Amino acid sequence: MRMKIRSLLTGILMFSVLSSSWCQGNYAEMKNPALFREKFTASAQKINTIEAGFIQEKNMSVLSEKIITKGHFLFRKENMLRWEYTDPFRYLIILNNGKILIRDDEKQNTLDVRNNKMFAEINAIIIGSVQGNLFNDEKKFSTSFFEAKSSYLVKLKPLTPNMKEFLKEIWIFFDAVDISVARLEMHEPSGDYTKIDFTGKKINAVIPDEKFLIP
Amino acid sequence: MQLFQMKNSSSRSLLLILLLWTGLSSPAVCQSKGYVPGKGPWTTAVFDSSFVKALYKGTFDISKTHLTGLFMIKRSASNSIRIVFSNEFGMTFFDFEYRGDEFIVHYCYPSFEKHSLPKILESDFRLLLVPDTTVTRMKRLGSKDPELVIFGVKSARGSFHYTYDHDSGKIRRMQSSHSIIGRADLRLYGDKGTAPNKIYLYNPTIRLHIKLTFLSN
Repeated sequence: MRMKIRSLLTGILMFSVLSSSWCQGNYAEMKNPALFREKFTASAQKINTIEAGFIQEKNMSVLSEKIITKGHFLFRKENMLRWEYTDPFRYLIILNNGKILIRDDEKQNTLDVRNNKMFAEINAIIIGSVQGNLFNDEKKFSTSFFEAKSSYLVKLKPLTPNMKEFLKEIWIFFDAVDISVARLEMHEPSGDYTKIDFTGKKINAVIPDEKFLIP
Repeated sequence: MQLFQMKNSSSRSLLLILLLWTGLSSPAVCQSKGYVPGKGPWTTAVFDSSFVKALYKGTFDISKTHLTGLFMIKRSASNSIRIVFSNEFGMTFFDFEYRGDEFIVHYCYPSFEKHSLPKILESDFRLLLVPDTTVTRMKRLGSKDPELVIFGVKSARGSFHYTYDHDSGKIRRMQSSHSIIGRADLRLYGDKGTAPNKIYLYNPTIRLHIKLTFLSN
């Protein structure tokens, strides 16, 4: 009986060690972050547009709930972003030259980025992740770099009081092949986090102006 | 004898006045004191005990602030229900729990906390999420719409008008009738299983408008 309990405990212990290392994705501290920055900057300079699908998963730890939403993402240099949710609801955000357009089933609003701090910060995170200037902003973030076999991970800790209010850490996962963003994770002070996986990426496809039009 | 007649006529008029007064003041069809919610035909619960969870898409307007996002309402135990509001990107604005009589703020976006928002929202959300077990009086009032049944309700929470759907017995509106502070108007439309399809909450005192549309269970 004692043996059985002991082996069960060993099993649980081994499983928890294995699963926790799997959760970390076997990422080790990056040996040469300067080289990664160089590679990324070179790659980002070549990117003018990005078109992708996304699957967003909000994990509510205490409630053991996941909220999954899906949509479409368009980016054009320098600061144009179209973020469109299509499932399970329709919701559109367009960011263009400091203006935000928000459209849902009921109404359409045009806002100034400066008047909506949280929105402005989240949009800056998405655009900054894509363009790579996010982890060069030492006033806003402290940065640590990690690497695995086929991907890189950059963890950013917000330093400004505004951002600290709603974000504890941002994790950006990069595909090692084209050094483009594959996943974005936003970790909240409560322990909840939102994971956004980008799918079917098209780099430098032609995106018409109308897609970013704010009337 | 005269004295008796006087006494008799004055008591008769007193009775008449009392009768007239009660008749005029209450167009009530029926009246029940010491009403126990859940045991009578009309319940005070919007989300009854069989409710587990519901995800709503919603807008939240308070004063000049306009927010949109998702509201997750979940029963986490038999005596506990939680409401979490986050924006479309997943960032949480607030996470409140009603456990028994307790109100627990698990998280509140600090800028909201500065404006005492949890305190302001506590009673309005309680109306929606927690059945009132302190009802002392329910008085049926007249209704112009034969499909609706209206009750005047008094409880430790205050005085309300509850409007029910005649056939299903489900609550369609909860409206505080007397209190000046914390005056709330809650309207419920349609049903998606154990949850309303649409929920509108309005509090004119704090200029709060919440509109929720059911997405999924």
